[in-house]
Amino acid sequence: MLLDARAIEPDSELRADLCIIGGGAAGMTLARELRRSNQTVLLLESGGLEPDAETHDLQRGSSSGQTYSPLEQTRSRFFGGSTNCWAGYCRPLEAIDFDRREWVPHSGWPMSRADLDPHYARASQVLGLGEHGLEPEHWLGEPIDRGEFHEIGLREGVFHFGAGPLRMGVAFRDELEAAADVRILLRANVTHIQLSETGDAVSRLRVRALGRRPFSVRATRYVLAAGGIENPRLLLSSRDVQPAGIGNRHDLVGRFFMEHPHLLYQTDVVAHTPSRLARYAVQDIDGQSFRGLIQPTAEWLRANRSLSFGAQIRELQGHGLNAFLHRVAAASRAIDAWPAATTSDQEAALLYGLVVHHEQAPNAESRVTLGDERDALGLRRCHLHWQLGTLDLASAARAHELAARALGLVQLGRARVHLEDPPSWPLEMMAGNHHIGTTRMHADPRQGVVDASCAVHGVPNLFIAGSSLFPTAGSANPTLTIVALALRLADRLRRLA
Amino acid sequence: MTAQRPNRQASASSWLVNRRTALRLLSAAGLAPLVSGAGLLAGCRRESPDRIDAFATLLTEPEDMARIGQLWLNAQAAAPGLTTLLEDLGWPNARNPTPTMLRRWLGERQREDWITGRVVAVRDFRLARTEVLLYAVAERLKEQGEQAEAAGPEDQH
Repeated sequence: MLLDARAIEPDSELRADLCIIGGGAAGMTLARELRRSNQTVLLLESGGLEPDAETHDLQRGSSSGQTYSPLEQTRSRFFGGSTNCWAGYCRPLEAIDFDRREWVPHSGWPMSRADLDPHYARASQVLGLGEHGLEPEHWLGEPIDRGEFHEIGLREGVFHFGAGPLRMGVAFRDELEAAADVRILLRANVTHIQLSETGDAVSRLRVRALGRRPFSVRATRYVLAAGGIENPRLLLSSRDVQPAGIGNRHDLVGRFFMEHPHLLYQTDVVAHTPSRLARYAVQDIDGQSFRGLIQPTAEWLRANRSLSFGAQIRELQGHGLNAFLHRVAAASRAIDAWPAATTSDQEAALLYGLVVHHEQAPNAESRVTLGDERDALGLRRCHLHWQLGTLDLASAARAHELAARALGLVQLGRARVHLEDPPSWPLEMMAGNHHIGTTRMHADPRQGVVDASCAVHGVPNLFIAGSSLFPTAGSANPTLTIVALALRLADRLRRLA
Repeated sequence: MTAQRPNRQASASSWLVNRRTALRLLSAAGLAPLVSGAGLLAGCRRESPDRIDAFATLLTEPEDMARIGQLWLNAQAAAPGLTTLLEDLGWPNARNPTPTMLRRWLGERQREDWITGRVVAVRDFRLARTEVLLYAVAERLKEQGEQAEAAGPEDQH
């Protein structure tokens, strides 16, 4: 059932067994999974079915530290959430991403990749990724190398797109609207999470449509699934019972904000045999799109005490080769042809560039806090201080050097690395618009906001979903993992019902 | 956009080192002790080519390779001469390596360069050290070939 909060009587109270705050990838996955689960579900979505300027403005904020896009441009706030604007990149985190790595402070998930694998398989179905699994072998066919990648510390991976970016608000609207036990309340903005007097349970939510008076929602359990910036914002804003904000007894809410710094074309490649790079372009098998990438092996990461990365190799369309680049192509083609006839002098060399998504290490000083300005609902806007550290930069530099060596090793051409010496981040660096880590998961309440079951430490009827849970970010785009974790949480909530 | 390679074949041929020139250069560079097989300078057999001759035959894009080599040499505080370059490059263990053996040996050396990180930056390009040494050899041979040409027509056959 689809409802509009503007039609709810002010000061009234809606009731449900489970209330989900946020209708994005996590919230919609939960709502779909918990249909017919012997509980009533109420999903509160801030926006409507289409974007509108007033709602969009609610996510404006300020930022400092590493240059970042205006916050309102990094997400969507209407039915479907940021699945309305994502590019569809799906890739699971690697096993090592879940491990505690002694060279990465605050690393380690309270679960392993194997624990999440069954949920990744289901998440693949939710996102329409087909039946062929997530590992690269099926998609890329014969390896591009003869083991050299692995020898140097790399392996190939795959981004999956399914049939294209899944807009959940469009794809799942009909089935959610038809579900008798699920109500979706549009234009419903949560402005306060009310704890019980003892502070160990959420008692109700205060909810408002823009320009309307508030009403309440009372549920047995609540899931906060509003994204990596709004999740901490709501917890920090609700401080009448717990003065530092909900779940913030140890000053962790909003901290450890992580992104995926993108270094675009800091490394380019003169490919003397560009046909061999076709595997890294977007391809299609049985209606399923994918593209290859290169990524480090766990062994290389351990040996080099580095953070992870994923590198796409994209043709730089419209970029000709100058005379010197022609010389590099011709010379390296001749050299690479010596040991084995792997190159052809029939191909014209082309210029490619690396698009590299880097992992950022958890950093307590990189954080979301509340600013002084207030939005139209009276809530304090967010302030983001995005801070990258020395491990991030050193790892990124090592990644580009490794990729450059690998491309020479497998005789694709020669790579040019434009990082400064000493390396520095570009002033206008892109990021993935991935908001990660701000309500991190850890078994120990002194190190995490939520426990392994995604319940807020000390508030067992409040759960959190989304990338704000991730203790570390890996280099994979987060949506697949967001959905997998939401499915895992749905299993738990079904058992609790 | 597909880029077209400029045709530099004609200019390259002006300094390509033939076998005789290579032997002259070898002698001028004082490399007799490095030559595999005794009495090479006195009249080497075709099946046991000297190093310069052997390397020169591999430099199939001589002008392009020499230009890269020139850039690298110019960036060195003490740019190595041909003798040092050849010493650095080394030589296979086989007494009289065939061109195929030499290619394989160089290919393996280059592979090791990439794997172990023996990488040299030339205008930000990451190149294997072995290939850069060869490019530098190409440049030194080019210089000496040009000098040989300038020395007089009696040297050219």
